[in-house]
Amino acid sequence: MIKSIATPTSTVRARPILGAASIVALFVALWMALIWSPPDAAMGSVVRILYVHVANAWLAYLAFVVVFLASIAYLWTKRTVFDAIAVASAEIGVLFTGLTLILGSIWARPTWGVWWSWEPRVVTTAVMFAMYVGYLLLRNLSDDLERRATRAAVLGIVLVVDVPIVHLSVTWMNALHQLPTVLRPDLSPTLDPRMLASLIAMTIAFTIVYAYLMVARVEIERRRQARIIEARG
Amino acid sequence: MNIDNFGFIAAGYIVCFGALALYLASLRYRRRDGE
Repeated sequence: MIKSIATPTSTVRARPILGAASIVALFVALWMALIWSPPDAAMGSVVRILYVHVANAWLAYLAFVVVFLASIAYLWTKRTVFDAIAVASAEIGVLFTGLTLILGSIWARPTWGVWWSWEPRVVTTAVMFAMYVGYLLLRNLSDDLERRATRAAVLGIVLVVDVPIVHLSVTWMNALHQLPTVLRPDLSPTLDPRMLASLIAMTIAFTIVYAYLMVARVEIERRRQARIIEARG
Repeated sequence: MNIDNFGFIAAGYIVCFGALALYLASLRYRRRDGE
């Protein structure tokens, strides 16, 4: 039996606070990335694209890990709020993954000389994008709330396997992509301090944006679920 | 000030924040529309 809980008013109150925090954090991060941070010795000013490219990629990882955790929580408790969290995070994760691919392509043209390369991280990221688009499409195959949520939860648990594959693909195979410079096993970033600070600032700003989008998207999904449950009687 | 590859940098940021703005607009539309 599916369990339903009301949307807490705290999430409705959190939205304007998160919205204001997103704007402030993005302004600070943009100033750091576009003005304060120095150009790279090898690639010049085009390094500035990497601040948004990497932040989007990390947030995509986070979004899909949240899908995984919410899917486990749904199967465990059958509470519809976890299904709402999973679909919201998957949708935002697809947006971030799509942006990661586009921004990577825009960065690659002046750096590698090509818009696209069939190299391991690009291909595994494209596969991750396609898999989560499939996850969102699968949800529309059934009108039954419980069946749809259960199927999606199983898929949400399986698909997360691509996240470590994307991240570690550069260390497993010969690749054009550089090896990890921040999320390294020895936890010692090999990056100019101002570049690292700009990247961290952009990641924090995108994390707040992610939180804002999640609150807004979960709210929409909860209303949708409430209508379906109401219509079913 | 001369910024190398300015067009690529501008395109990257416009695409990124343009997409975020469009997604935000879609959420507002869906909320208002009662989806």
